[in-house]
Amino acid sequence: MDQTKQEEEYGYDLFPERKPGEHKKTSIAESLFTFNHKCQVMLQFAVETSEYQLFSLFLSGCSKVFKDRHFSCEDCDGTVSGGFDAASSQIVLCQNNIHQQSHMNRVVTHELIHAFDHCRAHVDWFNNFRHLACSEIRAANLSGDCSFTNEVARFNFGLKRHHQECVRGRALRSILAVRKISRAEAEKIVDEVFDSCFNDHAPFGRIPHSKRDAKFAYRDYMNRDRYYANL
Amino acid sequence: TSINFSPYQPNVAAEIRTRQSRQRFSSVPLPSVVEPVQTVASVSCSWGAALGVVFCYFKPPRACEDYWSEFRHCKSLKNCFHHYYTYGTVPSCQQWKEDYHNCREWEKHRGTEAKEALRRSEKIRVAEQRNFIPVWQLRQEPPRDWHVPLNQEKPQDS
Repeated sequence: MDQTKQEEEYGYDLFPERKPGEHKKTSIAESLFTFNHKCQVMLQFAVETSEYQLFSLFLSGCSKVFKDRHFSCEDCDGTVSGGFDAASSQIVLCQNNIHQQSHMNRVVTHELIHAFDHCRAHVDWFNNFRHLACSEIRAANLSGDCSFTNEVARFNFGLKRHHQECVRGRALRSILAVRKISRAEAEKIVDEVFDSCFNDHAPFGRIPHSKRDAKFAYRDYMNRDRYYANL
Repeated sequence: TSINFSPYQPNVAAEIRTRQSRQRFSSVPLPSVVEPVQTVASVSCSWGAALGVVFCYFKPPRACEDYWSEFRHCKSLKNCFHHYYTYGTVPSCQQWKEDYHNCREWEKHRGTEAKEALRRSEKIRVAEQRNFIPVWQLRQEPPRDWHVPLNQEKPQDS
């Protein structure tokens, strides 16, 4: 069946509540017996952090990011933490796989980077693997997924230039999770676009490793008029 | 109205020049005492309201304190660690310090040398930011379905 094939090809089978083209509201029973409420609460906290507010500004043309419209808490398969559904312009959060606030913050940032790419460029999510790889590289790079502490928590001990290895690995994993291609092919694609996409730090202008980096990125953004006028 | 930064207008400098040629208000506030025009293309221009003419003047791209705080941040142990973790090298922070001194120098003496040094340094920074070939084409306007309510979306064609 065409729709099943499409679901598998584009990774929708990881998000069983999300049939392409259909949208249903959460029932009360679902709210009671799933992690939906916890997800909503954590999302509320995540939305109030400064990084998120910074991001809402950065989304420019998509400057209004509404929690109710653009975020959705759902049950997902496997160990997936979230996703960005370009078809419905929604960020999906996996309520059964996100159990800590810090994890939620990270997933929100990661998916917002996908949303940011979707808003500012013609990203062909479904057919162009290079675009997908690029966005995954950027999201792993800029969201804090590959911070030293997160890597150590995963028992990946590395120091010199380990960030890049981590970004490569996580981008690869993300692509393999949602698309049916071979590992070798995925590695080749990631290698092709890595240099370009790793160095694309939009909208931050730097890789935000800490709160101060984020604060300075925000300051640069607020100062942009003066900056460009005086170059 | 302020000059809007937008990812849909990659050539910001050209946009600024176009706007200036249309003599729109810039976002920079009017000075109470007007500096004489130093030079050339990329400066801030605004109407001298009482006098009805356009005055152009330069301001350092960032506030001098910003340069100093960037320098301090660059030098910090945490940042050095993160830089090593990402790039395998220790960051070089000297440029921020020089920019800070040039900024203060310009504030005191309004010299052309300091101004040009600052501009040069910032232009290099901007060039470094853009030093890659984009994989995708940038949009001219946001996606149309971003705000479309969910129930109204058409089913995706297979």
